[in-house]
Amino acid sequence: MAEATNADDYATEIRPKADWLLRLACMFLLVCFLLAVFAHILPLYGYSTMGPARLAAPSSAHLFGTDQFGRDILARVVFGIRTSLWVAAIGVATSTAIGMPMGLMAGLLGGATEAVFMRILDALLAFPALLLAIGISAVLGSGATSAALALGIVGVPQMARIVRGAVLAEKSNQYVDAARAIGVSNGMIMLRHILPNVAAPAIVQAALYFSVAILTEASLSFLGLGVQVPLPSLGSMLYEARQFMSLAPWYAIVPGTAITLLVLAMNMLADALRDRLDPIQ
Amino acid sequence: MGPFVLRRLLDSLPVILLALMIIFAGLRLAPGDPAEMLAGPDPSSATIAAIREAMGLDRSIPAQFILWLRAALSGDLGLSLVNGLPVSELVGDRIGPTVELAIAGLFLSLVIGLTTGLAAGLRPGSLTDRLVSTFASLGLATPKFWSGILLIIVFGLNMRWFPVAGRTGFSDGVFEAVRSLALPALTLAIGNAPIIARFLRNSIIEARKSDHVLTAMSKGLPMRLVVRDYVLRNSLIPVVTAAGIILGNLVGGTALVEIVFSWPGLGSLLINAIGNRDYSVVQGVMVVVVAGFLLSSILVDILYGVLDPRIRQVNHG
Amino acid sequence: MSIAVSQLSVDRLNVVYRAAGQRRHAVDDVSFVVAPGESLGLVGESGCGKSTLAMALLGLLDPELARTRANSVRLGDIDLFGPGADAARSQTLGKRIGVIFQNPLVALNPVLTIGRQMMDHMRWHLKLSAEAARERAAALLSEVGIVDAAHRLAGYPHELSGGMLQRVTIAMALACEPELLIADEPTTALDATVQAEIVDLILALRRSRGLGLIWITHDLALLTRIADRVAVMYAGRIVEIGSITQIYNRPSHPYTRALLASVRSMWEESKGPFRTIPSAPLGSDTDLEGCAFRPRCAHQDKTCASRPSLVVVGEADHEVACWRPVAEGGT
Repeated sequence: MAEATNADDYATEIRPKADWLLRLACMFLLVCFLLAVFAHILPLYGYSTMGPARLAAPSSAHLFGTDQFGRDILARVVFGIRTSLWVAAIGVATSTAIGMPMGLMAGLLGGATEAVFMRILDALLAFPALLLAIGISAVLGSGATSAALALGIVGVPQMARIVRGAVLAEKSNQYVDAARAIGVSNGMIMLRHILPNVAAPAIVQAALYFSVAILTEASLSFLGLGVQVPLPSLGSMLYEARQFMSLAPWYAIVPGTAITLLVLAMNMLADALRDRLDPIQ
Repeated sequence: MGPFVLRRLLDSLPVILLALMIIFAGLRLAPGDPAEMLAGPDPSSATIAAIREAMGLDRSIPAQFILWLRAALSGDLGLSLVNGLPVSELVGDRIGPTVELAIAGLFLSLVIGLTTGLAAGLRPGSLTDRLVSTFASLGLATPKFWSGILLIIVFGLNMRWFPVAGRTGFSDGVFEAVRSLALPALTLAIGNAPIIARFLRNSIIEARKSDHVLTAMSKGLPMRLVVRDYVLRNSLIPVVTAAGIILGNLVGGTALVEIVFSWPGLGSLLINAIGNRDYSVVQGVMVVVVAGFLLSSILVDILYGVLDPRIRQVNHG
Repeated sequence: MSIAVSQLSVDRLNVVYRAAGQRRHAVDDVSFVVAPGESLGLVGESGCGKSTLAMALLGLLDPELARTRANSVRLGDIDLFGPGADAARSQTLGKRIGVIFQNPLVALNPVLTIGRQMMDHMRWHLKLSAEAARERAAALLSEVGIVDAAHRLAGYPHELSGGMLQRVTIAMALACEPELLIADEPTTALDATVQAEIVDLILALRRSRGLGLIWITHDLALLTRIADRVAVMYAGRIVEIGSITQIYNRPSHPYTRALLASVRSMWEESKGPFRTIPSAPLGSDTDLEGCAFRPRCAHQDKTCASRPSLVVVGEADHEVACWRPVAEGGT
């Protein structure tokens, strides 16, 4: 049987990854990022500038049409992307900032610390993710920052688990025992040996969570819990679009497509990162 | 099997307790004074104080928690801060439609996910496989509320095959009930079937390469028996994992779908309560949802034990 | 309990792996014969193609990864590679040829009971009822030394130790009364004491049934107990084949000699240094044109640039593929 598996090493099954697709996704993300950063400078209508043409279909004046207050949908979508990206980014950063130390401590210290941390994480996981985000938003009040915080907290269990798993895997490596036997301190062990190997899965997890964060932020705004007026958000735009479904179906298409494409592109990027950095996962 | 189930239940007790503590903490941290809100318009401070005492809000936090816990366990989830009705009643009215929707969503997700995952897994690299993969990626990326709206526009408004909002109960006719359930359940399935499909596809491909499949083939068994007993049977376990994952998505997703379709369930109750700052109702819904979610997680674990004899063994110690 | 046992003859078996644009012969033009009831040892280092050879002649290699070709592979008069190969294989595998693998824990399906796995091919090939199959399975388990057979049938693989599980797979391979047993490194993954037990068991079963046996191993010393004949493989080719005494006492191929030397040095010169074979084992740049062993051979010269075929050396049933075989008494 040894031979049969040796042969597998020779004939690797490479899923024909459409490389061009990945590049397209990265370019799309880059464009969105640039749009988000330079939104204010772009030659667009203001996102709260109301106009006479209400619920107008797409035209040369308004590429994606207007909403019920005559506001340009294209402008609102661009700013909505900006909102989605920065709220999601803060959410991911928060979840990493909290989850990574938790995972590191749980993995390295073990014992009571680990047990307590794991129980807390389990308790957080007892809530379905979206519901937890809704609950936290309810308590913290609505607004972009509380949405970001909610996203951060919801993302902690996964990040902490992944980091802890990576730490445990590294800890059991012989060279850690060897280092300890020589007398290297715990701190040095962590820095030199364990941290570098934890970085990869953590990055992959952050990338994966980013797309979840985008969807969750949109969901929160859809429910009225996320960013508030006047800041435009793709989710709240869809909520309004729902009311005018029969009158202006195009209203719903653009924000939804924007979210979907963002998430798709992010997922592709995350998968590619995972294949490069942490293929075992 | 019995000891395994018992152990699983016991293991989840501390988690349930912690989760309830989190809900209670949220309740206390929420802005607004419940006593004031219940007292009605222009209350005197004496009224407020009386209500506060009746609700036990003058006691210490741990004592409050115990009180609250005891009440919750006996079915008393408090009173709505907006209309004074018992929360358990409000929840009770709405829980049926939500469960209905969640089960329908689960069912559709399984049906679509299992068939597509099977087709893709048995023919890896084929056109079928790539098509399934593409639709899976799309389905996962699409926000549920958007696919719901799109479905309404296409099938509800344009083609008029399905109603666009509201729910028809089963007592009013099975056909109509199913019709009103179809689009909401499909919306849930679009986001969750891909997870099932991917898990099944990958586990079939893995199982096919495994050594016990080679042994089965060396015994001269025909391919269909090998696929049935050595590939598919083993692929089911990861599917249970996938089902466990989508449970959370389904429960959370119903909140969104209920708003889109005006479905009278717990999700819309929750969102309305948040809008009204009725934290009493919020807390009640959370307790019920978390309890239900944990229960279904335990059921999933038990299912694991049924399918994989090694799991049963491990838990015996 | 003797059954009609046939001869296995393999004629020009080839296995080519395609990877990253390169072709690699995992099994290179191999032919050999296993006489009825004879025991053949197939020996070589890791990667020499011995396991691939066994899987290939049964037609079990994944066609996506490897291309298997042969003039013929006959058990008696049924050709597993001729027209009607599929039907031939489904009638032969499990029924006339039984296979035992290296790691019993992964060879068995963890979610099916042992009884189920022992019985499913029995019922398929022999058309037995569930009752009859169960009785037969229990009898087989007892025969291989598993106590409480009926109870074990209802149990799962993870409940048994490695040695016990290997007994189960042996019983499973014998279930339909095959004429030939192929054992792919069956004791490599087991403890030393258990190894000896399993070897004894297989030998006893073979004697009582008159089975043919192909035993694949990297351990030449082990074959002294088991094999009537030995085929030495290197880089997918058979470089020497002969009876066990011929191979042991008069090894002619430089590789065989080196293998023996490194084995003997373990036993005889436990104080001295190991004798190792110089340079690295086969890589994908193995010289396909000439003799495969040439890069590591101390005796090679320019005649070795063309590929040697098996020729008789000494006695009629002793063949070696070498231009300059080492004569008796040589280094």
